[in-house]
Amino acid sequence: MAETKAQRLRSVRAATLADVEGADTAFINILSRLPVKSILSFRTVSKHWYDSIRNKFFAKQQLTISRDKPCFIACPRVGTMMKLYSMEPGSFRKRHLITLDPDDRNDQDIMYMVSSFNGLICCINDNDVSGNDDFYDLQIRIINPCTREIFLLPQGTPSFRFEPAIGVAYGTGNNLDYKVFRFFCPGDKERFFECEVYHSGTGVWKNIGSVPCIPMYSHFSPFRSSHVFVGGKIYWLSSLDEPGEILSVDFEGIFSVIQLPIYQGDHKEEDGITEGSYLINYQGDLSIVILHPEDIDIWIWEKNCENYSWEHKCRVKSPFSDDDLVLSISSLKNHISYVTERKWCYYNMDTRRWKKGKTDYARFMKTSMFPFTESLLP
Amino acid sequence: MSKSEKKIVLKSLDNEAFEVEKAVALQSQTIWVMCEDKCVGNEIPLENVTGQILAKVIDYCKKHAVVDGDGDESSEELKNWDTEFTKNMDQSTLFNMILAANYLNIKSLLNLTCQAVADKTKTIDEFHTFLNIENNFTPEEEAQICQENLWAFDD
Repeated sequence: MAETKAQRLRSVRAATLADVEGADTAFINILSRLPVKSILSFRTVSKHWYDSIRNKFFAKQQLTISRDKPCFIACPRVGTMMKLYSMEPGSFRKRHLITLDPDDRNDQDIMYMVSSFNGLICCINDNDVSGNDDFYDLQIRIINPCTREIFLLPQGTPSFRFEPAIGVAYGTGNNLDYKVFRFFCPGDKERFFECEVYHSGTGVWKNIGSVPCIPMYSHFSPFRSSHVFVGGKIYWLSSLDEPGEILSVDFEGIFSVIQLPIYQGDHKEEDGITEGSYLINYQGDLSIVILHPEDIDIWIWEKNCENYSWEHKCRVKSPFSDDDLVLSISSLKNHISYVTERKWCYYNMDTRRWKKGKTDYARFMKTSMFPFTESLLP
Repeated sequence: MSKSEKKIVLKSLDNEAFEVEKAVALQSQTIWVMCEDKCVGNEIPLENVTGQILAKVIDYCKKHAVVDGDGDESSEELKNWDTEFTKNMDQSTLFNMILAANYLNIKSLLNLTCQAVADKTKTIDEFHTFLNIENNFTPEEEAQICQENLWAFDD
């Protein structure tokens, strides 16, 4: 008995990885905390290692940990090739992630990032419909910038005299499926729109019928595809003309339309909705940022008792000059990021302070920026 | 409740005894279950942990028992304390801490120590040396894996 204990003591004192490998949960725990780049380059460390990371369970655990340390993903300017960078919230240092230039794309068709979720991004570009100038299409790609996997979605229904618009919904808990909602004009008559949905689980498009309204072109996005995904629903700006409309759809494909905030009472009329209105996901709530010449308003779509309504969150003095256009607004934790033609800015909602980056003389173009978490998902 | 009931004695593998507050020890799910089952008295033998490691685990539990439930400032302080706690641990201590946290089922300590190992190993060479691990792939197998572009899961 005493001997066994002594042996055990020796083995416990001489801890090596073999012991940790034995304690499998601990081993997976260590591995899942590494950056994705390291995990990938360490595939060949050992057979046990390789087997441990090659499954969905590990990918899910890695994502759970990665979600605690999100960053921003940004494409500062569009071009023939798409250069993507990651940035820490509150920091202006850019770390190059990947340069994308898929072969199966026409070089003139500029690719644009419209969504970021679970370590994946969705990029779209125009796609010629051969032999017919009346029909439009998009190429839609789901890309993992860390594993460099690129997936081109099957072609959707060609759209008659209308450039299709899309939005991406995704599972945020244990369900990691995503759905791409695509608006198009089927062609029997003009200005009649339908929606079809691509589900990652089935791999096919499914038509879900007519829609109450369609996403609008907004800001400096080249497509009608600016949207946010908040609390299980996609939201698109549909119209800024009073009273203004936001189109939303849930994961099951149920549409609804909500109005924009109403400026009345204390607010002056000229302070109403402007062209510079951006939807963001502010700490899990749908929010709208409205840029005025002097001020910036932030409204939050809040639940009071059973009903939702717009609550005025704050008004901030605008630091932007008239000739410096805001291209993109996003939010991560308590930071709201603004990208103008010339610089990056963060506004910290807790300290109520601006942090401005240096002026960049190579102007930003059609910049897109979203919260991002590294993952191994395909 | 008398003073002795609030205390508990943890006995390490090498027979070192530590008297600690029950609230401190109960952060370990393993000890919590033992106490619930009433299968042990006031002295709990821990067959997988040495005295040297147990002392560190108790330090951690004491710190976290005191601060838990206080304001934001202390959570920041606690974070700094955690960083300092693992900063100067050598490889063997870290692994023993992971094994102890795993055995005692103290989730936050397990996460902390695993993160420390992950932070200390960034390159493949570091992995081989730091983790003292042998590459058991043949060169052919290794080349094949490196060729794999797609991250295909074996479902």
